[in-house]
Amino acid sequence: MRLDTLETGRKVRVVRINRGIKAAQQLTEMGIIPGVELELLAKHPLRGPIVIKLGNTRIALGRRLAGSIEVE
Amino acid sequence: MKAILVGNPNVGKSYVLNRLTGSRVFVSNYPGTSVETNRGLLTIGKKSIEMLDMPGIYSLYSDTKEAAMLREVLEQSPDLVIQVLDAVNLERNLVLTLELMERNLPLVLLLNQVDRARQLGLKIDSKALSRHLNVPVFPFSAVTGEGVLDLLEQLDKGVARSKEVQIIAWHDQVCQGCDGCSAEAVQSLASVDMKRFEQARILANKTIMQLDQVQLNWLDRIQNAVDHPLWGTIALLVLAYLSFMVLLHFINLSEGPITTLLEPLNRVLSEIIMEILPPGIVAQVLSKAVPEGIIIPFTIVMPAMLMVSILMALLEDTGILPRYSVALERVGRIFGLSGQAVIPLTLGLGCRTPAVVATRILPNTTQRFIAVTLLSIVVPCAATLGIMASVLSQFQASFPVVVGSLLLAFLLLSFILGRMNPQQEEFIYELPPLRIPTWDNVWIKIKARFAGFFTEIMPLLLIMSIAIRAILESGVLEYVQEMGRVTQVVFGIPSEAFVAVLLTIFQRYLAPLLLLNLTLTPREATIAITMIIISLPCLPVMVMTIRELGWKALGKIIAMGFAASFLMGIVLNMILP
Repeated sequence: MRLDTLETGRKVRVVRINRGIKAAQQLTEMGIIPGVELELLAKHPLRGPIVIKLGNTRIALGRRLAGSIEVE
Repeated sequence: MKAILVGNPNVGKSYVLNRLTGSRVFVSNYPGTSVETNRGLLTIGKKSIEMLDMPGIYSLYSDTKEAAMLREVLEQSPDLVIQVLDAVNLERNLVLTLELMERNLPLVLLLNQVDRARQLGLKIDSKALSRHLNVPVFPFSAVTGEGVLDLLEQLDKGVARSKEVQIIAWHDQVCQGCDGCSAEAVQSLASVDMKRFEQARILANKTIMQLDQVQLNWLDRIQNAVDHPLWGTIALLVLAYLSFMVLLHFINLSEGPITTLLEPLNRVLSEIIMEILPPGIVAQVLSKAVPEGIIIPFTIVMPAMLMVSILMALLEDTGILPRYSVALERVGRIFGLSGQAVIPLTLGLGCRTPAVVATRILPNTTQRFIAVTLLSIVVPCAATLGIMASVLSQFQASFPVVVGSLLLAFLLLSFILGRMNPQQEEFIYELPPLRIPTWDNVWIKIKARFAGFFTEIMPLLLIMSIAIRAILESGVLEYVQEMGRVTQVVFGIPSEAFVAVLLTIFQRYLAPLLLLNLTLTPREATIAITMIIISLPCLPVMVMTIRELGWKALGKIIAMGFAASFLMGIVLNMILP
C-alpha cells in the first residue's frame, strides 16, 4: 500500500521507499525509514499535503513524496 | 575558547544561547528561525567561552548549505561541541549525536525541553544515556533554566573528547522479520548509514520510559483542530482576515488621537523655527518640514509597525505560521513555490529586509529568486501599510482597487515566475507543536522590530520631508508640468504624482509624503498609490538582495518592478471610470 492511498487515522509501518536517493535521504533525515511506525493524521484535499505523526513529531509531506512511501 | 551549538531544527538552540549568554537572538516556534550563525559570550569565573549558534540541521551529511557550513566548522576542531536535543524526540535527535561522535570532539548533550517531555509522560534516564555514550548529558530547559548550573559546572571542569561507541554490533543484530533491508531500500538509501538509525533506536529504547498514557490537554485539541484538512484551513484563513482587519482598524483608530496629542508640539516647533531663523525661504521650508517630518512617522507609520510586530510575534511563537505553509501548499504549487515560501512572505509584512534572508529556508535558488521578487514588488511592509491606509483615506481613494491590483500583480507575477521554475521540489516540513507565547519573548521581538522606527524611519522621513518641502517651495515642480500631458494620457495622474512614484526608488514609504502635499482626485490618488505600492525594493532590501542573490538578480527584480508598476498604472487608467 502507498501512504497517500490510506484513509486518515490509520497507523502503519513503513516497508520501503520507492524513490531516488535524494527523496529517500530527505525522508530518512526526518526519521521516515523502513521499519518505523507512523500515523496518518490528515490528508488535505485537492492533492494537498498529508500530515503524519511520527513519534512525537508532526511532519507535513507533499503528495508526490507521500506516494513513494510503501507501508503496511 | 570556542564552543558551537548544534542540533536539529527547532530544538531550541538559539533559546539555549540566549539563556547561557544573555544574548537577545530572535527565537520562534518554527524550524528555520535561525538561518545565520548567532554569537554570544559566556563567562564562567575566569574562563570566557565564545558560543556559536549554528542553523539547525537534520544530519551532518544533508545536501544543504547549512550542513556544509557546519562540517566546515567541525573541521576546524572547535574546543567544544554542545548538541541541543529535543527531549521529546530523542530517537531522531540521537542520529545526529552518533554522527558527531564519529568526529571525536569534546561533546556535551543538552536534553532540552525536558519539562515538556515530562508533561508528555516521558521519563528519560540521562545517566544511562551518558553511560552508554560516555559523554556528559544534562536534562535541560532553556525556558525554565533547569540544568543550567550543572552545565556551567561541567564547562568549568572541562570536557574530554568523545569516543566513537557502538551500542550493538551491526552484524550481530538479529533480523526480526521486517523486510526493511530488501534490496531496493538498501540501494536507495546507499548514501545514508542505516546503522546509526538502528543504534539511535536501541539507545532510545534503553533510556526512555513512557510512564503513562497522557491525557490530551486543550493545546493538543486545538492543534488537532488546526491540522484538520478542511476546518483547519478555513480557521487559518479566517484568522488571517481577522488579523488584517485588526491591523487596519488599529491604524484608523489611532491616527486621530495621536494627531491631537502631537498637534501642540507641531505648532510649538513651527513657531520656534520661525523665531530662530531669519525670515526667508529656509525658515519657510523648515517651519513646515520639520514638524511634518516628526509628526508623520508617529501618526501613520508607528501604529502599523506596532500592530504588525505584535501580530507577527504571536504567529511565530504559537507555531501557527508553519501551518499556513501546509494549508497554502496547493496554491503555492500553481505558482512554482513550495509551501515554505509562506514564511518569508509573511515576515515581509513586518519588514522585508530580514524576510529576504529568511528565504534561505527555501529548497533552491530559483525559488528564492521568486520569493525575493514577490517580496520586493508586491508585499507591502508595515511602514508601507501605514502610509497606504492614511493616504487612501485622505484622498478617498478606492481601497478595493488598490488591494485588488496588489493581489492581481502578486498572482500574475508569481504565475509568470512559476513558469520559469518547472522543476517540482518535494515538500517536507516538520510542524512544531503549538505553544503559548511567553510575554517576555513577544516583548523582545516587538522592541527589536520597532527599533527601526527610531533609527531608520524617523531620520529618513525627516530628511526627506525637508527635501520634498524644499522642492515644493522652490517651484521646481512647475518645470515638470510640461510632462503632465504625457503622464495624464498614459497613467491618468499629474506629473507631480508621477515624480512621487519615481521617488519610490529610494524608499517606498517616503513617496506618499509628496502625495500628501498635492491635490489629487480620488481616481488620481488610487492610481498613484497603486503604482507606488507595486514598485521597487527599498535600499536596505536592495543591499540584502545583492548579498543573498547577486547583482544580476537585483537588476532583474528592478526591471520587473518598473514594468509591473507602469503596466498596472496604464491598465488602471484604461479601466477606471
